[in-house]
Amino acid sequence: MDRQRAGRIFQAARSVGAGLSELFVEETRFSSLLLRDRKIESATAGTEFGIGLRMVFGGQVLYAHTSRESEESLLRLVEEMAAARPRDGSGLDLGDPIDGRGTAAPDPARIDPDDPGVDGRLDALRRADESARAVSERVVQVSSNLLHRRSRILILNSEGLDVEDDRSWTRFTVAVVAEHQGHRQTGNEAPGERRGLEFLKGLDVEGQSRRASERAVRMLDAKPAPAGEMPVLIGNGFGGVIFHEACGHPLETEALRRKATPFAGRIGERVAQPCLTAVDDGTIPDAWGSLAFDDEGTPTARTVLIEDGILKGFLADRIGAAECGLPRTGSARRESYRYAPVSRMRNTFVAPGTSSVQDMLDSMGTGLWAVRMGGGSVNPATGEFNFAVEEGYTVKDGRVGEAVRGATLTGKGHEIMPRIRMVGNDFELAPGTCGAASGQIPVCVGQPSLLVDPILVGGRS
Amino acid sequence: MEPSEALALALEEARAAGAQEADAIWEESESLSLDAFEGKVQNLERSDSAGLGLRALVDGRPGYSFTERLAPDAVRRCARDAAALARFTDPIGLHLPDLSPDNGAPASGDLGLWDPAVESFDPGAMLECCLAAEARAREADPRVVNIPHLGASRSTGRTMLANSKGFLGERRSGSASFGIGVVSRQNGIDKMGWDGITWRDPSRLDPEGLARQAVERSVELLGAGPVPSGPVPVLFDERISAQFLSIFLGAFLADAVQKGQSRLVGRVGQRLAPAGFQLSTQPRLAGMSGSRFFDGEGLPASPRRLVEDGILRGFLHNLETAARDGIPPTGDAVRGYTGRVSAGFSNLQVELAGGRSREALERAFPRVLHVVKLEGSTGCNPISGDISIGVQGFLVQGASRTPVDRVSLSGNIFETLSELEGWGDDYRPGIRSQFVPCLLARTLQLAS
Repeated sequence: MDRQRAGRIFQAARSVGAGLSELFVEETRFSSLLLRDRKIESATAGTEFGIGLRMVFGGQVLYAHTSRESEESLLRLVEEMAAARPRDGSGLDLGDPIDGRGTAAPDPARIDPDDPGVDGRLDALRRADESARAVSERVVQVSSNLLHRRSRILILNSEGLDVEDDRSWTRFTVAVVAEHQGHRQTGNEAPGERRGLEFLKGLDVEGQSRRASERAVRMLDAKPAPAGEMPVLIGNGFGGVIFHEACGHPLETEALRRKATPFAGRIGERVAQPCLTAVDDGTIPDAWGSLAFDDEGTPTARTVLIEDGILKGFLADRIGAAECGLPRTGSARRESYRYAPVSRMRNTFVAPGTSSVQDMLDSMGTGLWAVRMGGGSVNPATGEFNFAVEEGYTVKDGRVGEAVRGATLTGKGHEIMPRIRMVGNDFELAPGTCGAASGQIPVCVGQPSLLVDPILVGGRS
Repeated sequence: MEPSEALALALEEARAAGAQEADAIWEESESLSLDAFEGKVQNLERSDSAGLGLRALVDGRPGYSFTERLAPDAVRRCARDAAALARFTDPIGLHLPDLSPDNGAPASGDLGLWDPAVESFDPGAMLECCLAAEARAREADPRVVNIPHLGASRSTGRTMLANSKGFLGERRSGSASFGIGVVSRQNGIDKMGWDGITWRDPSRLDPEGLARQAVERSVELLGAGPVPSGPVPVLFDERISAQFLSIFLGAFLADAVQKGQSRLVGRVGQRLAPAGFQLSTQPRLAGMSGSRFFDGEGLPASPRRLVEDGILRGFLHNLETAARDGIPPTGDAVRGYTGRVSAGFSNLQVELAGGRSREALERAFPRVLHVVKLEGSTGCNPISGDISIGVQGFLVQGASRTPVDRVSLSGNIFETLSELEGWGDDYRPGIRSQFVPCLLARTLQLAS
């Protein structure tokens, strides 16, 4: 995007009354290779391209996007949007301009699938297949997939902001199906980092694949899960999805500006036991949810959400910060040029504590050990959540019993927080994809093992 | 470039890059949406997008690529990518059909997917809908404390499909939508109620009626609590019956069956549900979201029962899965420009014949859990059919209705279907792609 052309578009936006206008130009290359049952089942590649135009009139956000990059079509968008704008904007002060100067973009990908002659992808997929099958004769199907995405973005705004970034993400996923006597179970692993294909070099493909396979095989013998209220030890890593859904989303200003969060007006209050500290950190090197700066050009940061049980802050984009009277945290994010940025999580985690898994098992009496969580959902307006347990075990008097399947954990986020009694020392981050108003974005969830007492378990027995 | 030019160029360049056959899809859409909060516009979004997706077949091996850059150079690169990627994949022996006008071309005509009135649904009209609904919701009940979701939108789209054997098909659609989410509070407990609808003609949206409904759905669950665990007959309300069933619809995909990822393997000709139960794909329903004359590979799309009178009759196929099973293609292919060709229901329909009113179904047992809300589906296993899901609703015992939350249900979908006690006699209004009346399951396990 030519800066002079951008200047003329901002001038047009100003002349129709926009307080702030912004252009987000993106070109993203995708590639994916999927190996299933020892065959390459699909090989795809593609290019996304588009320009997002945001105009802010007080607290009103007008957003338009197009794949047509001519000045004429962008100027037409400005006019159409301005003509469509209902005249009821408030006089929201957006605060100081974003200072994007001196923000160092991270190293771009060192290995890109578009580079000729550097492709270790097929080999990695085949190794994954072989190691999963070697675990047991009960393994009946293995799929392994490599996804790569590289986005080159440019953000310009009417206040002079001018930042460019080159962001790569690479993810390896393996899914194993094991079968015994007509019964099937699946096991998955899906590590990923914000890097190019060089990510593969440091990855223990065989180990990841074996773990997924062993889990699928182990769960074949699982019994139906117990049901009712009980203490639950939630495993580390992806277990953090509960905090993400039940507390992370309600701590975004996007929820606060709609008054749709139980944490409204509670900064400085106790919302959890003193053993609990939770952070959202966009600065962790190479982590799946990290950023140099956010999608409106604000440098990213490490934001403490809860410290020793006390609510400390929210995740804010520029508009959310201005409307809610909170500091900006560099949390404005969007899936692509198709979405206006709003406050979103980056790498969100419960900080490590001091208890060992054994200490927590000993202390819980009889309950459930949810070693690995599956996905879930939450209604941020009411805090109600529901999560599946992918790998679980019964616990009786501190002893780990049989594997159980079909368990779900349900409750309300803000009610669960005070019931986190012990925090483990086995911290781990896990990559995932988060869906909300500004689309599907890469984030990490994370935590050490946590003992929650009690929580409602849904099961069959 | 014009879409037909871009499609022709993509097919020509794929051939030049070594593909013997190719097909390409063009999709473009425009939409406008407005969100309001507390009497004011919060967001107004306008989207204008287009993309081209290409499948190149090199010696029977498929390679896929897509581009949103639509200049000739970008389309050429897209064609080269698809042909190059095809060499990675394994041969599937796929050949594209000859769909020339005198040889198997799909029918054409008006399916009612477009009403010019949609273009008059401008931001002023959208804001009017939002304000009317918000005011109605606030006056409907003093327990309403917040209306966090309030928005209207319109969208129009065009899809074109072409293949290297001369097929070129096109369809256009347009629709208008409105939705409202209301939070009510009683004794410090919040409950959300939501309602929304899509029509071709925006004058049918009735925002005030939807607002009243959303308020009713929010206050009706106030005071809810758990009820004792145990087996219980469950009535899935028509608000959520399609959502519930769709968790397990993957079982009807031929691809899943062929890969052993469906419990329906080897069950064609066997009983799946009680006599009288019909489940079909209905691509010719007038004006509905999934309605079409041709599928994602250009083949004629026509209505078909997959479950007829309770007996499983077949699966959803694209060209590849039909060839693998050695059967004629069924026209169920689904495709977007960024992805591979898959298969799906064009419109899913559980037919109403033999259905009963919701009141009659509630009285079918002395005690019925009437479920109106599902909380996530991740505890359900689409392959095994195992159900484990949080729900909210009412325990109906004769004339008494007690609101229920913090409970979960478990069981198995295939057992539930085979013992289905009954189904409803109407669908929710609006433009959709799934038509499922309420469903009464004989027994599921309730945990609280």
